[in-house]
Amino acid sequence: MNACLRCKYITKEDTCPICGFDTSDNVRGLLIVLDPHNSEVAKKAGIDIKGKYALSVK
Amino acid sequence: MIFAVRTTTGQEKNVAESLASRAEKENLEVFSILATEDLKGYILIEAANKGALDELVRKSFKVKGIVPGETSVNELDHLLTPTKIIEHIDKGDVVELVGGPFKGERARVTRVDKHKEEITLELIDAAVPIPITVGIEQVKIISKQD
Repeated sequence: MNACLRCKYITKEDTCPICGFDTSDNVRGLLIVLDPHNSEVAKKAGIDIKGKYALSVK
Repeated sequence: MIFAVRTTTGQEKNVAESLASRAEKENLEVFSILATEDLKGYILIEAANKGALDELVRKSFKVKGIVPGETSVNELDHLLTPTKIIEHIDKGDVVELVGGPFKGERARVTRVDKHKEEITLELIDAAVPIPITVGIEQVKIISKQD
């Protein structure tokens, strides 16, 4: 499981499908955003696209 | 509204993913699901109301129970923005090595590289002070410099 170093989006690819940045497999935590418009957690984390995100990526 | 539910320890991410796919399939008013290593045995679910949560965890054998009460997003600040351990380490601190060939030894920090997330140490018990550079994940802080 990889995650984007910039936006923390979880993907299997080597580059992020959202922002095109590099990904890393050193991932901690999991945040699944189902409804970014109503979710306060997503707003706090600065997420506006539905999907799976890591909490920290190194 | 954010609720905590109890799950099997070590299965937090699997449970979160299975609950997320179920919420999507049944079109429940669940906004987000959070699973973190810092909170073993629990996952946090943000839902529109308690009814949506009850509906989500009903029949799910992986969920062991719902924690009474709810929490607010402000209380999750430290989970959403984890501070890195490198931010807390300064020159002069005493650390213990928890991995690598010097596991169990104590050392004093002589240099901190925040970009590479590496620190340079001098072993306290060594007769001759030899600087060694290790990754930040190999140490834990014992005491801070006064």
